[in-house]
Amino acid sequence: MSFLSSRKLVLLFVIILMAGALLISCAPAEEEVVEPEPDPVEEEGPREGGKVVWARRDAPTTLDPMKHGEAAANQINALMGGNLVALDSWEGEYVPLHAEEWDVSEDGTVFTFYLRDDIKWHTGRQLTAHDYVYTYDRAFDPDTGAVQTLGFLEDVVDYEALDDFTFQVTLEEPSAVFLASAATAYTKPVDKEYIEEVGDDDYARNPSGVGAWKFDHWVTGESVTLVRNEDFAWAEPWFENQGPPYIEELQFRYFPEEATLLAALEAGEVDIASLPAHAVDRFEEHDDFEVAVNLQMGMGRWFMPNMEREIWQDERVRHAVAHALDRDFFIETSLEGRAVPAYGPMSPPMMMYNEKVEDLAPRYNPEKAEQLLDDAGWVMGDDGVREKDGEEFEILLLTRTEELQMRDAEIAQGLLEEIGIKVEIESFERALHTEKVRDGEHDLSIGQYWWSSGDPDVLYFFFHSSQSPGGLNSFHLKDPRVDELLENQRTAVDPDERAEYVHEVQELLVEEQFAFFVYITEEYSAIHNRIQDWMVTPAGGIQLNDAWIDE
Amino acid sequence: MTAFILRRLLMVIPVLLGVSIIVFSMVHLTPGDPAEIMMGEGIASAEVLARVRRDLGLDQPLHVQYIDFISGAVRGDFGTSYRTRRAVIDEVRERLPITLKLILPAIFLATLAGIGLGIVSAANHDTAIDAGTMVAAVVWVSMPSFWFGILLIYLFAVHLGWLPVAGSGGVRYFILPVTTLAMQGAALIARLTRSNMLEVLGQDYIRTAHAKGVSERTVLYKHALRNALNPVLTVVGLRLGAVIAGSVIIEQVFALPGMGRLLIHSIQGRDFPAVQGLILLLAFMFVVTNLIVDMCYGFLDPRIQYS
Repeated sequence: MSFLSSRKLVLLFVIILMAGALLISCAPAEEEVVEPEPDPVEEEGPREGGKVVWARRDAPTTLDPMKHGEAAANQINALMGGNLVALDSWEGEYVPLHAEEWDVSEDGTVFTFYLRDDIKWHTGRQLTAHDYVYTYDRAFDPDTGAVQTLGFLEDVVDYEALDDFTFQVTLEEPSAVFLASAATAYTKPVDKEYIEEVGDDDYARNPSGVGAWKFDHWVTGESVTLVRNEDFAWAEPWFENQGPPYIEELQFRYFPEEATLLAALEAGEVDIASLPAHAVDRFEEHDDFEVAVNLQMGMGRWFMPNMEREIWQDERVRHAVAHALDRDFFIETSLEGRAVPAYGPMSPPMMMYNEKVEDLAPRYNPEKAEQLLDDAGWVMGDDGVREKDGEEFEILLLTRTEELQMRDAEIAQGLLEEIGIKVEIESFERALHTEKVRDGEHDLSIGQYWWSSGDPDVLYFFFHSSQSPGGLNSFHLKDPRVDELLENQRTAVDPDERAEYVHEVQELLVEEQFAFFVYITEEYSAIHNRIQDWMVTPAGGIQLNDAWIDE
Repeated sequence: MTAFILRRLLMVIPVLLGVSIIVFSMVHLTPGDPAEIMMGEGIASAEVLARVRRDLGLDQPLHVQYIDFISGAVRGDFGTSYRTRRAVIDEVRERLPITLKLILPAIFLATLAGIGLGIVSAANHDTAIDAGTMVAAVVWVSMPSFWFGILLIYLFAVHLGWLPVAGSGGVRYFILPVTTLAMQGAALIARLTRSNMLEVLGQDYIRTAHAKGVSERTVLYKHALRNALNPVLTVVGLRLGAVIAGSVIIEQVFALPGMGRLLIHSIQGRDFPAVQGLILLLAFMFVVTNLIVDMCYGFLDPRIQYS
């Protein structure tokens, strides 16, 4: 016998659920997004209007270009305004943007930029060389705390506005890298009048710029919404549309959880999002989406020996390891084939990439690896681990607690075991890992570095002796030949001369196998097929200046 | 009663002071360099990193840093977040409402649904309804909320299209996360209510009530329920801690920009001021709720004296 009939039971449930729902906040009802009616005129070509939602997993914390080091904020900053020059990542050269042209003094220390006179801030005021002076003033003001920005401006000793549209920068020593600094969004001009009007804190929450997109509003941790800049007419040269974007509104939404992000794509709440390798097939087959592919810029998956360790001093040992790391096996096992082999320290689309590394790099050849280890005096022991002078070849590989790194570490463990090297893996959370590797507690480390600027100077930070300890040279390489080449490429203002040094250092790193390069990941993005004429640049990913919505 | 509340409120001070010392030590002793993490995707030379550390005051001795922190905290100033360069209190002010909109309804729903199901189960002891409810409860308790949340998203947002996938736009956005967060608590409370009810229902005074012809309904709700609820209340109070912890995962899954996500990002970013401020605030919330729970005992059981 029951005191509640099943009908009453259902009723009880409904009441409970309703009570719960009622209690939930008195938040205003969801804003209805009114999509403009599509133009009834049937015509080919771009149409204005519409809204695009672009999802990312990481959310920005500030939109002040000088106060962060975040990819999420940098993306928005770049959309809200360019800089003096821009990197043409197809050609690997810097092209005019805000500066129509520029001169470099004979000794390579003075850069003079001649600005366009038709660029306007989102507030309507004209952009002048004085704005650049203010930008540099602000970066050098210790109160600003412009960490990343200063990193780019380290060599600057003086700067001035020669007239309203001429901006001159003097460097401590000749620098080929300075143009990269003049291209990044971290040093892009900031609006003096606007910052003085609203204050630093409000600027970070409600920024203004000169770009194709204007800031509209920000829901912390959830979304940032931009609208098109009607006055825009100074796009990068590779866009067909030099004027305002056709799309009316561009909203970034942040989904920390990958599974949720994919669900939002499938539910039609999101138009653009990058995809994990395992979801690529699903969206390639999806009727509503196209998948864009882009090769990652920077340094692909690497394993780096701790060069302070005795075992790595023998070149034959390093080559043996290189011969054991089967690139195809990594790519198939770890990324379902969605990557390309890496032979050197730079991703192929980067500036001054040297194709010769592809011939120089050791290929998978376990017999050769074993031969090299035998030659180096590491003989196979009874337990399958090589020994030399009574010591076993056992190394410690440190990884971050990231799925991909840990998986790749295990693959390396298996491959190295086959040639008699025992690998112990320890995984740590990011910050702890960085510290342990910096302190040299490892024999081998694993990593990957995305460097969207495409400038080869990234090699300086990883391989120059001055960056160890305390910098990114966490495998503690201190090689005078490498140092010299990296210094020379920094000061060689002539691009051809610089390219020689950059080419040479790539060859040297590969010949010596100071690091083992395995693969470069492909980046995938799903793009809803109602968006037409989007473009993918090697350095910048998806670009929407020419894009329009067809529906 | 007033004296009791006052004394308990005073007790909050040493508790929070203790929490502050523990959190401060944990945060500062955890390896990881805020300066390095702040660089993010940027590239920094060793000199720049050293300057950042100095600017953040991280080169000061630990006790000096603690005194700075605690003397600010008593004035309601938890410092400036390393990551966002905004006052921690502003960050909290923005995020707290979202977390409250998540955890308050979740506690309410868990309690109501749990007690309701527990009663139904106990009243129908050893029937199919009882068995069904309890099997469901075991399944619910065992299901990871992360997985259950994704399941709900795919069912209600992707396939049926009734509710949004994620975000915090309005009431509709909170239905799935609140349900997910409430689920485990509801299942636990249901099981507990059921067993307490069964115990109470077996007691002599219940038989007496039945014998003198009191209706089934009155026996159940007036005589049995009130006595069975006391231990349940304790669990509800303790559940709050679990719900706060669970909200971290729910905020992650449903992309809700609440305190939990702020806390995770702050920890990952070694954002010391933000971590310290958030933990202190959460500890405060926990202590106060438990005080409220303690006060509720008296209403359920008049024999309990506050002295």
